[in-house]
Amino acid sequence: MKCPDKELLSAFFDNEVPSPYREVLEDHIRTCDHCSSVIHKYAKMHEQLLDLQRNEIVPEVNKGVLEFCEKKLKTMPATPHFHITWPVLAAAAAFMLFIGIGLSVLLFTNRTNEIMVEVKPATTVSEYSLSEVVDYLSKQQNSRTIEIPGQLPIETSIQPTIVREADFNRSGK
Amino acid sequence: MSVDSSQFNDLYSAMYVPLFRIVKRITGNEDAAEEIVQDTFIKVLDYWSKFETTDDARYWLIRVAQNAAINWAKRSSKEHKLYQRVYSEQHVGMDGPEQTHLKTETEQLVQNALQMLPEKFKRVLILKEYGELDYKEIGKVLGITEGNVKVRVFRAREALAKALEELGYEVS
Ligand SMILES: [Zn+2]
Repeated sequence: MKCPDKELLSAFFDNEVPSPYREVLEDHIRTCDHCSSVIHKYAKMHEQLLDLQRNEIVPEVNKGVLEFCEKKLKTMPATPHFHITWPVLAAAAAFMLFIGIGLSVLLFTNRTNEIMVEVKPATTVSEYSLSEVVDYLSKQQNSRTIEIPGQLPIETSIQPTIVREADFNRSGK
Repeated sequence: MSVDSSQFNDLYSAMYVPLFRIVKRITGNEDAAEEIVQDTFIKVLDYWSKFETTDDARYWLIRVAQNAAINWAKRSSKEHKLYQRVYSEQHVGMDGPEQTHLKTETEQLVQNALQMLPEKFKRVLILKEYGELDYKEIGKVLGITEGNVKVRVFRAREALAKALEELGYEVS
């Protein structure tokens, strides 16, 4: 068997290679000088790193800090925690969708026109260029307020095509 | 998690020693390690209600303590180097006066080699060797995938072996 790369040997050393690969590697390492020397090197470094703390004294838990924390925890407001699971979330979404569809069917069948009207910010047209205005309106689906400088705002209906050229023609008044 | 002091107590007693060891390895300073660990426990309280499980709190603690330790080490690296140079010959390393254990020559060498590693290798190796975490947990702490942890641990080991060799120590 070809030697595994060292990255895999390192993971093997950390017990991170699952069965049955682990056993295959074990068998190989047992019979391969090269791989067993790599494992030996990792083991030695591991021991040396642990040696650094072997005789180190860890200071005792600071009772004062622990008490401080406990006191702080007690003064913290108990925040209500709602644990929402996926099925509940999915059910809620389905319900909202159902209500949404039902509502829109109801509204659009009875009051189509009013629903379509939507308030939009005023549009300012630079000049009295009627063709521009009509062009612009024909692209719009809903009612708009058009401000022509020096004139009162003109409300268009929900059907822009009914704004006739004559309504805007200064000389045609 | 709910504001339950018994859960906090359990976490405190379970994590105090590993956190201290992780931070001590990075800072090399016992007093700093104790202070950083305590600060981290006090800070975790502010986020307590946001954690879903104690594991989330655990990963948060390790990440925050490790970051604080690295910042501490960076801030004082100049003083550190000077201190180390002056005292390492008379005293032993840069440990506090409570330190009764005298480091052997090899231990000092390993400590120096560890300090020579690039930060990301040092982080991952310290979590592996002193934090006693598996790849999945290290990934959670560092915010990287398990696969990345595997690669990084391997590279860190190779870098450590190289650093030891550079310091005249043959790992075989
Ligand atoms: Zn081999």
